[in-house]
Amino acid sequence: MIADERVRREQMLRAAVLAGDEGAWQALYDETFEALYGYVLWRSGRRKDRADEVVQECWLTAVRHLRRFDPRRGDFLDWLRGIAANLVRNQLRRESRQKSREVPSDGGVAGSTTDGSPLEDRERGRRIALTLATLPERHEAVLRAKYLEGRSVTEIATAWNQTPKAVESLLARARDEFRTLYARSTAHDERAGDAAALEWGLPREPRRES
Amino acid sequence: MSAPDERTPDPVEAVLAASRGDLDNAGLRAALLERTTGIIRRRRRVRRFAVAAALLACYLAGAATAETWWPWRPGAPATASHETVPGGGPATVADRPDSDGPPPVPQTPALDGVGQAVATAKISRFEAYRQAGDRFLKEPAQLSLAVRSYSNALSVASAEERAISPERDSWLLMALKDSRIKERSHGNPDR
Repeated sequence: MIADERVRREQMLRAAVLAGDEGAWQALYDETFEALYGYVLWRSGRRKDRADEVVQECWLTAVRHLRRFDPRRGDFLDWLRGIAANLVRNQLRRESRQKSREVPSDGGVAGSTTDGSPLEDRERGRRIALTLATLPERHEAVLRAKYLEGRSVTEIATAWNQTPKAVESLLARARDEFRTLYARSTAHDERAGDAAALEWGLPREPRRES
Repeated sequence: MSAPDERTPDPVEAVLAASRGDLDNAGLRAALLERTTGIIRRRRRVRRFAVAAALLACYLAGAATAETWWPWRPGAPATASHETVPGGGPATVADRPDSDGPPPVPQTPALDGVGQAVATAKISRFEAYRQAGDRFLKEPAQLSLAVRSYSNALSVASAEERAISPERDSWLLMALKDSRIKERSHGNPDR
């Protein structure tokens, strides 16, 4: 019932935006901006400069391709998240290619980045983003629900129509996989450089955008 | 959430837990809203322009069609169609041959035959309208068309043709002629 109402409402808003209603667009925007931003920031390993870039690109893509959004297949925020996840992955690819071409004059050790954050933090953020981009969709979703949205196992189980035990188990597997991949990305970075680390990770990317 | 092991703190927890304090994005939010709204506004204008252009195109197409096919346009190429004339077979309707004739009248099947009759039989317009009126008068429920034909005949009639002729005129034409004569005499009290 609630889902039906949500679908009807989003269909109405979508139609209004496509007809040129700015108010309808603002309603969708206001409802989802913070959640999307939080998600992108989380997926980007809390690198704000990267998150800003992705969020910007995501909204521009959304407004240009709103016709592709089908409320029956998922809510607006999910659709935006799908776009954002792809953009984050593309950004990581670009970044990795760029880094592989660069030959650091100081042997790769620098004090800070252009956005003022220490290089170490930036690298850490990049590895988190890389690892999240590599996780299977289900594992990424449960980690997101747990750590980004701060939901309890019971709440996730209710929302997903599963038992708490199943969710607990999924969460444990997701954590293990994250831990393993994160550690491996660090090792790869140290041994073979960033490009190799990216190549290791990206073939297993889930594709989420419809 | 399961508590991480205290001896070995869960790095996942430390790495993934969202920090709520770093969402300083008011500037980005406002700028993006403005930009995306601008795209919607532009799209709406384009759509309105397209609708207006389509309407204009329809209007122009209609005007061009009328210009090309309007049957009474002076100098227009002759177009022919076959219409059924009451009391007769199919009649070919030709355009009005010149512009100095009577004012155009709405076409009806029998009246359509008038132009053809004038063009082919070299009879006067009055005669052609009169004959059409006679045919309508013989048809059931065509009295109004007969009145119209006779009225057209009288509007193009010469003084001689306007005179009542019991031998040739039908009762309706005679009544109309009489009415016209009275109208004229009432309009001109000196007569």
